[in-house]
Amino acid sequence: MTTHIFPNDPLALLFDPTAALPTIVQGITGRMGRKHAALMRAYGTEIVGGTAPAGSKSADLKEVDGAPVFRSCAEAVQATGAVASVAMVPPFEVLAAIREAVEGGIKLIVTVTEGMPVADAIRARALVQAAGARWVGASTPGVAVPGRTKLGFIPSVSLRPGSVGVIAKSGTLSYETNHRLVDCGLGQSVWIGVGGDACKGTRFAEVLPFFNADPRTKQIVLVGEIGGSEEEEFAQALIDTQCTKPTFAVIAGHGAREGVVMGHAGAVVHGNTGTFDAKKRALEGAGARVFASVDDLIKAMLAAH
Amino acid sequence: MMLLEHDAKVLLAQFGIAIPVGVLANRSTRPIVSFPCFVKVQIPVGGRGKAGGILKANSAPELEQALHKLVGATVRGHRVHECRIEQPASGQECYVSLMLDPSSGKVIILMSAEGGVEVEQHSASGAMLQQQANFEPQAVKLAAQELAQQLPSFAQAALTQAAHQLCDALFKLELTLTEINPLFVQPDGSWIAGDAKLVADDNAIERQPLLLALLKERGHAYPEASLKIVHGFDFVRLDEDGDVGMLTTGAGLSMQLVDELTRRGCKPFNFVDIRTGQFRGEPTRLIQVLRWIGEGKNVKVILMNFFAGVTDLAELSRLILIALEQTQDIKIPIVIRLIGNGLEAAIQTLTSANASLVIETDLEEAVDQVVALARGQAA
Repeated sequence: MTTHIFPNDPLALLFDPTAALPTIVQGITGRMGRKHAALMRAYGTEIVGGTAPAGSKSADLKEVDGAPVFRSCAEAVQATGAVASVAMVPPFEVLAAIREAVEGGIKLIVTVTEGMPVADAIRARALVQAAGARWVGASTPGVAVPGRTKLGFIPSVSLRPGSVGVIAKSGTLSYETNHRLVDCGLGQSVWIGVGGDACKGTRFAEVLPFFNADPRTKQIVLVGEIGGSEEEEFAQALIDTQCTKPTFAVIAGHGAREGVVMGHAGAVVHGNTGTFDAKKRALEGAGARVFASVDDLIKAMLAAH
Repeated sequence: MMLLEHDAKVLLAQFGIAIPVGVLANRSTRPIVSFPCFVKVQIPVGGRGKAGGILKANSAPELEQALHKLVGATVRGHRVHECRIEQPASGQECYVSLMLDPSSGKVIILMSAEGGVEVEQHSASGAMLQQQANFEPQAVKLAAQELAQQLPSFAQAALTQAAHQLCDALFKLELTLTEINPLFVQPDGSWIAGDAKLVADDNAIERQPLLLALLKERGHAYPEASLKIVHGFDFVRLDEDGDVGMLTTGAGLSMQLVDELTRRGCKPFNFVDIRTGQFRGEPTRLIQVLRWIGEGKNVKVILMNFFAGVTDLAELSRLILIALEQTQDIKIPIVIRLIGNGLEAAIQTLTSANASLVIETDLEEAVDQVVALARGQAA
């Protein structure tokens, strides 16, 4: 149903329970790539193969744990019909991996790597948009549709099929929030980790129309962070889409000092922009509820359930 | 990483930007300067002048007095270690900045013929011109040139040239923000940068030779960025008098725990995202962070928090025990909260080896224990 609403945006693949999502892992012969390909497959992700960078010492491997290894994304797409990829490559190679995926015909690209330079991210976003593809990342644990697939390494203990649409900048804070959610008997419809970088493939506000149109999503949880303007953009999108689904947010970094980066490249306050208070004001002005702690958020969700 | 004014100016001079003659001074150095001069605190935040961080000195005794007053003081929440002593500059105060807009992926150019400390009020009154350009040097330079045409004629050439030079710096050094305010324009049209603000992309530093050289030479001025380059993870000293040491993983959750503890009346000593996924079987990072926390004179309790989505807690608990073994001189109570893969085995390992550890699986309860210990109550 939702795929008819935004048929051209590959994000729709996550919201259509009938869509197949054959997935490759870029960098599958590396330590991270191999480990997470196995974990994803164990969760139910349709891993159809992977790629190894040309010239790497594992470039002539034919397969990894039963998954065929290809020389390029184009070759992998041709042989397997893959539509999604998870890139597990070093920070300065993420841009090249995205370019290769897009040129090879991949529609949905998740890059988990932390530490991608901003200039690379700007270029990546432009080329992905020009190709009509969709990039989630960088610096994200990935995306998941509980019971169906996960692209990345969102921990299975925090996943359970349900009706909460989750978007998050932070990995760990979203694991914690969702672990509590699952403990209380709730679960997720679709979980999209947009990542902690300032410039990224998919921003909070871009996901909202999907949550709004998705009949399985009944509530929305936003796990935000100080810095940037995504929470404010999301608040505006709530107003613009006239979204009436109850929205609960937790925002980390209340006590951060101006100009000091707290782990995530995007989480830095300069002047009066990106502050906790500005985000809280914007979100509450759009009808969302903002909580200071995970505990408070969970209690409010249970009370509203 | 926001560069200190002094370093920003030294870098910009390499791109042809004129800067007033200036030198760094701290508690022990007394450079030879001429008078009058300005003594400016070097902290990574704006609004220094309004906060009393910029003083004028007309003589050697006044300079001495100014340095005595400023070095070691706290201005806008930042401890002052160094001042830039600079010759005065003057002229019409203008403003120019180029910055990346992460939401659009474009470069935003701002210009005004009314710069200075009140620039925000001026921009509200419409004196600030704004233009966006695609993320390419030529596009940015062309847009800057066109924008400058709308300025009063005395400022056009100066701001065009300044924007072009800032553009070169922005792309070559992979900066996310460059700003000159005030930019002093003299009657003959020449100009000089009164102040300079540069923000570097932390993620690009390792491929930027000039920035790497700066961190190598002046790492003490950028402790967090240097530490990240050397050790590969984030550690921020939040409060030297802090009572809670943090040994946690994940930027978002660690930030949230700092917030939570602060709200409950504690003073976190540090922030850290230790990244258990990168340990590769070595306790090195754990030991390093325990040592740094051990330097906190007022730390009464350490909170360890590990949500193991991928990491095996049994393996992690073994590394924790090795790290504690090697840091026995640090006698601070520890509350460990564990959740995830291999939990039972990890609890077994930790409790049998070290009875003094407080182990929790619920985060709220772990935080309660930490708050109690920080207040000097028995857990």
